[in-house]
Amino acid sequence: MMEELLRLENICKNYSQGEISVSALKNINLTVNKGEFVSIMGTSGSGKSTMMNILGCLDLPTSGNYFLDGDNVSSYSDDMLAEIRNKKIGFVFQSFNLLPKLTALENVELPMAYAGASLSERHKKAMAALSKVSLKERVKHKPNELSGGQRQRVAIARALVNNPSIIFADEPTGNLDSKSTFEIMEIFQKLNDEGTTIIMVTHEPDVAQYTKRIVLFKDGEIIDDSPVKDRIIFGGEPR
Amino acid sequence: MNIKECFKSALKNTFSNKMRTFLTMLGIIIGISSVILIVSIGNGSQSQIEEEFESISTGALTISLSTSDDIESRDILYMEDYDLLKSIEGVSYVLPEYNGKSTDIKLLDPKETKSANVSGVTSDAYYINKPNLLYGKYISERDVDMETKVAVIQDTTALNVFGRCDESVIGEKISLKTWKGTTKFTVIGITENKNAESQMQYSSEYPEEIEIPISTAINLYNTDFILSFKVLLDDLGNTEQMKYVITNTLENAHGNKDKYVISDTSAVVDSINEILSYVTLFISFVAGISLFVGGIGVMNIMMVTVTERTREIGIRKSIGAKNKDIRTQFLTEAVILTGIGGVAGLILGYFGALIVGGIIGIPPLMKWNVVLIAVSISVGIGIIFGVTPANKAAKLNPIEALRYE
Repeated sequence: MMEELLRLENICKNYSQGEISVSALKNINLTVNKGEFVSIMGTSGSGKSTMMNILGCLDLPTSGNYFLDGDNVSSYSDDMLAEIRNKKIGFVFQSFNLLPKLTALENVELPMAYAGASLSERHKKAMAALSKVSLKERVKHKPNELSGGQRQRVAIARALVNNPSIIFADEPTGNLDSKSTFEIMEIFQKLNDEGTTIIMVTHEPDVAQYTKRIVLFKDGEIIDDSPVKDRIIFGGEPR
Repeated sequence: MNIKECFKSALKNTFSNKMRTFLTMLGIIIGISSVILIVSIGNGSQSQIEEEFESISTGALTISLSTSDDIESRDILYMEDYDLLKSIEGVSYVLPEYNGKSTDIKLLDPKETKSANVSGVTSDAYYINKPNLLYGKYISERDVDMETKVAVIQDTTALNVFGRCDESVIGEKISLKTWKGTTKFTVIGITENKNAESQMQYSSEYPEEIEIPISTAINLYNTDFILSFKVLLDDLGNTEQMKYVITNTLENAHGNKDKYVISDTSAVVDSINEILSYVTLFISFVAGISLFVGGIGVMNIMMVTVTERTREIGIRKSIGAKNKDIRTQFLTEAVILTGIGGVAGLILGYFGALIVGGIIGIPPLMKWNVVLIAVSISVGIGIIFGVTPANKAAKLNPIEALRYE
């Protein structure tokens, strides 16, 4: 029994640079169900980042419809999109994007501040999210006092904290060494096992092997969409 | 995010770069402190002037001949006009101003004399000049009617003439020498010389002040015209209308036009205050320009801050900050900059005013409304000059902001 989470219908995105119009996405149709773990792959310039921006409600398509949780968000205003990002979406970026002057805990609490949660609720939920990524001891540290893997775990905790419908990860392991990469992918798999839907952009095939489905982009079009064969599973059979 | 949190995080950001914050605030601090200094010194001198005038007279009108050339004999004021003024409704007291010429007074040593100012007064002088009567009584209406030879002298005069100043001086005789000869007057009262302290050093140069009934004075000096009248009204709020009535009455009696001028001390105080407030306003305006320049400094630094923190703005937007959240954040920071600058300027300006006031001898007066206005102006500057940078931040595209290095 598959429940639909998001659906793209004929999504196009054009950028105009002066008089030349560049078509970054051409008639994309895609459906992602709840509980999926999807990799979006492709070379740079293939349109995968544009895709991610539209999926993440950071940008609007030039044409087409985007249904998230049944709502057509393709015509939403800035503030409505901000609210969707706040309540339904969690972001994990390649460069972590933590606020340098805030502690790990404060960074995780921030999305709830914009959601208007009480201080005690924020603290409770942030601690819970940090313990999910096994980072309970370093909550008072600032990002520059943490390792890359730890920073990314803070970012994941921040993405999780408002209990989103979906997590978007844009090259989450791009700045990490292989050990940290394993850690992060293990966390993602664990979260996915618990029911969190995850869409991840990556250009590393071996990272994509941890996911369940790979969508391949080329020149603004989906050229392949298939389940992952020989998936690597942590805690399952040894690698 | 509520206002309190917004303030907390803005404070944190503002003080993360202390040097820059201080330099940005400096413009506001200088602006506000100079406005406060100028205004409180201005207010201080204003109240000092008011106080001084209050001690001189209390809202009396002075009626005198105008200083134009074509004064005719029929225009001159006489004692008849005194009765006329007394009969006007709304006039409570009238005091003719009559000064005797070249009079000397015999001192303790009978061979020595000293010049004296002899004023002819009516009993109303007691209510208009408000002398502080130390001993005896003041000249009465009966004294004026009967042309009695009585005098009211000052405590300093009593010391000079009798070598003592107490109850026993009352009833003593005092000799006034005019061109007519010497006339003896009975002392009936002693008043306090309010200027004694300032005259002390040069006491020998100040003539003695002596008051006698006006009728007696007219006889003594053989002239009967009155220089001016002082008039005290029942109701001070009615001054303008009463000036008109008084002028009309005199003009009807003398059959002339535009020969009398009426001045009141409150008008003098008003005009001095007006000039002073114009001066204060002008200097404040100049100081206000420095506030404006300070505001531009704040705007400039806020613009830089927004650019520097483009990535932070992108991050905040990606996790759900709305445009208004970002706008509020930066506007709050600008207001904190100018608000704190304003309060610091207020304190600095106050102490500056105390120091400057101490040097020039004017105690500064800081009014609550000035404090309130200064603080609201500095907050207002924060809003006015913070709105553009804050809007710039709010309108940033989240994708581009996230990409910013």
